[in-house]
Amino acid sequence: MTATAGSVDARWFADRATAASWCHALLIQPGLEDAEAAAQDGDWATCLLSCLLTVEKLVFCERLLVGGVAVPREPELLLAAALGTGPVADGLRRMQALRSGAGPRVEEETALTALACLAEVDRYVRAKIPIDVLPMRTPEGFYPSLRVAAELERLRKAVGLGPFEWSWWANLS
Amino acid sequence: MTTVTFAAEARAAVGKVGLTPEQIVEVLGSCLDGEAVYLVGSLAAGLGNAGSDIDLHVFVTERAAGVVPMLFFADRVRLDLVHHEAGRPAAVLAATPRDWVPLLGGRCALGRLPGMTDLKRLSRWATALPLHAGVPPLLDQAQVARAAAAVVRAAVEVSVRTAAFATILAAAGAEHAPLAWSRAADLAVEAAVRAAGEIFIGDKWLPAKARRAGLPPALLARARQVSSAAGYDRFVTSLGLPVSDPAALVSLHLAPAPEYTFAGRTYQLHGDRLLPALELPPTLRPAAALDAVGARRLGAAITANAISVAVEPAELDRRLQ
Repeated sequence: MTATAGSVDARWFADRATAASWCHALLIQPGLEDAEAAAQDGDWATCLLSCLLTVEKLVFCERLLVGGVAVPREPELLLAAALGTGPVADGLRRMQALRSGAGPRVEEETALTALACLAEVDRYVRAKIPIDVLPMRTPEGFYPSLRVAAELERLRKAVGLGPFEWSWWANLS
Repeated sequence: MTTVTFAAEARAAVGKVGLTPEQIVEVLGSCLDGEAVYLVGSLAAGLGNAGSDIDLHVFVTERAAGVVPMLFFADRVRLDLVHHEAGRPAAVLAATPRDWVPLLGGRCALGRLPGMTDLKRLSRWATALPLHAGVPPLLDQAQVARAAAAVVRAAVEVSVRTAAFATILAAAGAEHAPLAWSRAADLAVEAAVRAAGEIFIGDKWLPAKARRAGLPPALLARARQVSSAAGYDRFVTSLGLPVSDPAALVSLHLAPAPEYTFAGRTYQLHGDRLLPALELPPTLRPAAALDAVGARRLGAAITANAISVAVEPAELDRRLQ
């Protein structure tokens, strides 16, 4: 994670943007990797399902920026998506159209369309997070991410917030 | 110097990501010294692919300071290492029900389950592979059977709960209701897959587990096409899962919250959200809540954790029996 330029509300940044960036690092990035790995493996059914599950988690990531969803459980996320509009909710609709249209054998084209949809929704959500989320689960991204996390802790303390409960997140998946 | 030999099954499993046990030990070094080390997760369960992580659980005899995952890298492969206390698997297993009924060719537990985090761990421990040769499985056959019955029930409960949410979405006229119904049907297939012995909990592996369990590919395709309450009822009935009319199997529970009144308008504080006060009994059925406050307000209260949705164990037991 690296901070981008521009003026932002420090408390919102320390609270909601921090949660969304951890969400991206610990829930979304593994989902993106899963979908990509299944595609590399030619396992199109797993790829399609991984894409759907990751778009659902992007509902959570987006909602963290404004509040209103307490847990990243699938039914709650579908409910939250239904209460909102925009590219993430639209992404879920497209995923369901792909799912219901797929036959017993999920075709490569269906899975690649789902991957493209996931990438699009991810770009949309990431653009709303005022921290560039680095690929935390890579050798080159891990330590820089920890340095940003430490800086976020310093900011949280400065604006009167307690330590971020990152271990809750680390045990989610 | 002691010669360490590695278990052939573990060697084959980590070979899927291009590593050897020797390379893993070289990276993790003293983190593994003198302890019981098990490969867990998708690779141990016979799933996984070249992009999978290597998940290792180390069981220590001293008191572990909480479950804190540690991340390492071997080349570009991620090694996730977690320390647990040696008695933890037995303690989690003891919290699962002893009683069971036959369901979908397997066993389904009767009674209240431990939390999902513990059930996920239990499914990992039941499918774990010892890293070293000569080390016994983490759970014996009888323990695996008990764990399996619990994770089958967990899939049934998650399917029912998801279907109950689909009921609320449908009542709200939400475009995502068909997706919720189809996921509830997917999760009914997950129950069938687990009953067939594929007990590793990992949502994305459903198609792979269904293949391994020998279920026809058309079954998952049919689940993906379920889009309504009637479709869900037909699907679960055809599977042999007695959970039609799923909303009748769940109850809603109001979370206690402090109230604040501003110029005659009362709000409840849930987390960091203020919600208009809900004048509802502490526990009620979805149909009653929909009648009282409407689908959209109910949905907003659930997503904010002001209302929790739970499967009623006794009601589900009655259906299963």
